[in-house]
Amino acid sequence: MKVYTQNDKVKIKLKVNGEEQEVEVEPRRLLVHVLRDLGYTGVHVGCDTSNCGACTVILNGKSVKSCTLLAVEADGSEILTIEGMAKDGKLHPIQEAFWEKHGLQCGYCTPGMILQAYWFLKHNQNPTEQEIREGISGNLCRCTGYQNIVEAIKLAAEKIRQNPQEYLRLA
Amino acid sequence: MYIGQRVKRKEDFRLITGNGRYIDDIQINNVLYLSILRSNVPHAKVKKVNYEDAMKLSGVVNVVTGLNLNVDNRPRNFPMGKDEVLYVGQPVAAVLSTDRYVGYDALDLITFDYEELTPVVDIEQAMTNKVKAVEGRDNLAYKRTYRGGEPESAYNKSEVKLEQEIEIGRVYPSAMEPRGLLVEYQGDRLTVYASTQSPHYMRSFLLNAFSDMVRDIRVIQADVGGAFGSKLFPYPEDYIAVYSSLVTRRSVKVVLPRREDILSTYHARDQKHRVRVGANRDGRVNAIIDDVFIDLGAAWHGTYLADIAATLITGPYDIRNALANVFGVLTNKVPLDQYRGAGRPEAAFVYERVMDILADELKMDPVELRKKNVIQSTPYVNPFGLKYDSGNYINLLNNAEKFYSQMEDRARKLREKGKRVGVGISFYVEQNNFGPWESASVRLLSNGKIEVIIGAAPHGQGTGTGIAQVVADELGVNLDDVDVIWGDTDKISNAFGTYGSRSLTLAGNAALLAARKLRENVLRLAASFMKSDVEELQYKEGKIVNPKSSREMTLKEIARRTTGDLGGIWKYKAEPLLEATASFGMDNFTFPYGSHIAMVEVDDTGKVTILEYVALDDIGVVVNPMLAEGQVFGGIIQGFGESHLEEVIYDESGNPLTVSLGDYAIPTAVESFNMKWIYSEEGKANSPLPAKGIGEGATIGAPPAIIRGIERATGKRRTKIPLRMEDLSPY
Repeated sequence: MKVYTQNDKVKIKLKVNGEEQEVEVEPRRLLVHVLRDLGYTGVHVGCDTSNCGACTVILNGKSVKSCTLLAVEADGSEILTIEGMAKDGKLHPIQEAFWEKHGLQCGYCTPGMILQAYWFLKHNQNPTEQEIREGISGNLCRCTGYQNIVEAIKLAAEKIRQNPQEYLRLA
Repeated sequence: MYIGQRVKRKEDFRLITGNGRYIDDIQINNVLYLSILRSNVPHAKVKKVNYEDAMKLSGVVNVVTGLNLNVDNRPRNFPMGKDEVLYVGQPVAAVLSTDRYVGYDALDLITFDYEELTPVVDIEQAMTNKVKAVEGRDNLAYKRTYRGGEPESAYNKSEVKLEQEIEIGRVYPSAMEPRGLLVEYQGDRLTVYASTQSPHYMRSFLLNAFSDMVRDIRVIQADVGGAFGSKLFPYPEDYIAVYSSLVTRRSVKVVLPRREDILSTYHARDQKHRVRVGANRDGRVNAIIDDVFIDLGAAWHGTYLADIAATLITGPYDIRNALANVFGVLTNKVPLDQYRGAGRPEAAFVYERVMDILADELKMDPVELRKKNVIQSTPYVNPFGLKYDSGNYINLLNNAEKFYSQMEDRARKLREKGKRVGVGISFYVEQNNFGPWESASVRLLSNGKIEVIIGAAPHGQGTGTGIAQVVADELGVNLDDVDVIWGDTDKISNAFGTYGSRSLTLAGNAALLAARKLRENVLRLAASFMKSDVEELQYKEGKIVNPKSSREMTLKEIARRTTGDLGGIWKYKAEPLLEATASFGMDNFTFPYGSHIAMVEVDDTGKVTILEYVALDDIGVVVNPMLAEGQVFGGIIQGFGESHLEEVIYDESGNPLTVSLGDYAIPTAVESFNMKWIYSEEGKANSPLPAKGIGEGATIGAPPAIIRGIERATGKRRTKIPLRMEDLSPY
């Protein structure tokens, strides 16, 4: 185990949406703040207790709340944020489905919700409604009442089933 | 026609790709971060703030203390506690630092000396007035009486009398984005980026406070991550951030961590009603007398919330005799203000509880009792003088009854299987479109596209798409060629913003009228270009046509002709004015109405599950059913949260116990449920675009329907929200 003192600056490497990033950070700095400082401002902060999931990103293939990790813990990892979902201007089917089904209003929870849906659908491409609801229960939305988000994830599952290799290769 | 279609939102592309620009996403060079030391005691005299150690910390630029400003309806110690702190969370000191982590380090190095005062923690204690919540002020900050008919004698003469205390708990609006502000320092002026519902109102209240220190303040609304009423009125942080920028001559950003947002964003509801109702044995209600108590917390701004509740206390029922006594009391809690519904949910919870309880007392069917009392025709003037504009209340209630009866049948079968299941129905009327007016400009751009600027400031409702539909129809152009923008005091001169379910009606009508004016301007210009008389020309689907000569010009051609050539001389016979502005207001509010029906199961742990849910609304013309439905769905789940999961709790010493989204439980997808929305368009608004507004209706209709369902499922009279699990377990 590495021990850092407060004044240490630590050089870390991250691969975010396929781009190599090298930054010097204070050891106490949260991953979410480092990602945001790198310009990935689609990663949002909605709480300080890991309840809301607005900061959800995919780290080495796992859905994580980036406010609950120190950036130094993520050293050497591959990260997918909302900015990496669309490819060459073409929306990912989950993004399309959220638009189609009116799965967002203010949009603040949306990036985290879409990434959580991505991770969830990667593990379950034929989900029941209850599974979807449980799958996103760590992500809070105050606007939509969730019904249209659930509908969006159902529609996204349909789209993804048509070409899972293509749509689930991001992370 | 785009009006009436489920058009996909024009707002979404940015938001689903991570290109939204919320307040903390906007970067300005050389910015200072503001962090705030907040009172950790509910009530105390402040003696001295000790911040010398904080100033020594590398990265700390300044510390602000003792800022007091004279702002309407706020205590003397506003925006900061200078000699008295009034609630846990009130700002005492503010640190300006070059890094936000350092700013919070600095807060650890600041202390304040204080002498504790006894806190006032609830309405009963406040009413005794023995201990003062604010030194030198009476706890009863507000008293008002509303009277219509002969309430006392009608009540006394009634065959059946009912007295009931009804409580509506304190809630926290919980927008997913905490509040924030970015002040860009520009010498003699400032640009303020804000997570706000009204940039124009913010500009005016900031200029009122600081006009001797700055020439002008431009306010730009950033993308706003939800508001629900909580981002409209002035906050201490708004003033502290602007003041800090002016004294340091630097740009300043403040974004609240969630814990601080819960301790400072104005809480809502928190009313207690002592209601007396007099009725005939056949169920006809003669009189309602209500003592309305509202816990204002530590400022007397939220009194209007009790006024709204009081003046709607007869609801959609023809009750001729009514009296409401409003008492607004001060306590040592976070100040109270509006939250989605703002007074109407409180009224509806009371009048709908009264209907259900009276039905039970009289052993009548609750729908029958409502039918006996429902307003028979509109317009209708309620006993306090509110004029309900339009609609067919009986028809909607009859439609709702069909769903209610079907759910009742299914509930009966589930009860026979031993489940605790009940069905609740609510019926409500809503007062909407708080004005006074709204503005909009419509422009024909040089590329032939249409730009609409609205004074409303939507933040998730999708109003931009709705108003684009209205303008596209009016001008006969493609929806893709219309863009709606808002949220900048430099883009439109005077405006109010988005609140009170007003934006589609007021800004939508202003945009409609501006589009009509633009059409007139364009016709005059076309006449000069086409060498015709204006009277000869017709406007058809985005073209100006001369039927005699069959000559026509598109909007794009007119725009090019007007703006395309640089240089030369003025050769126009009509003014080359490719824009028009209009303002729109109404001489009355709008009054949508609706009914919610919920089938509820309560398990032995006290957990509530909604098995079926239907909402019916008449909101006049529905411009985009998908968006309106989205408002209803979101509002229902908020109403459910308020009924069962959410409550701001203070202990008996005035300490807040719910300080995270773990303690303050807004619904997740798991507790939430599927809903169905049915709309009718019978009760139109008295405006060119006859839409009434649907932003808040569902938070009004949901709690009484859900609580009635719980009451029926558990077989016990219920008179407060929230009903928590421990209230509902049989053990």
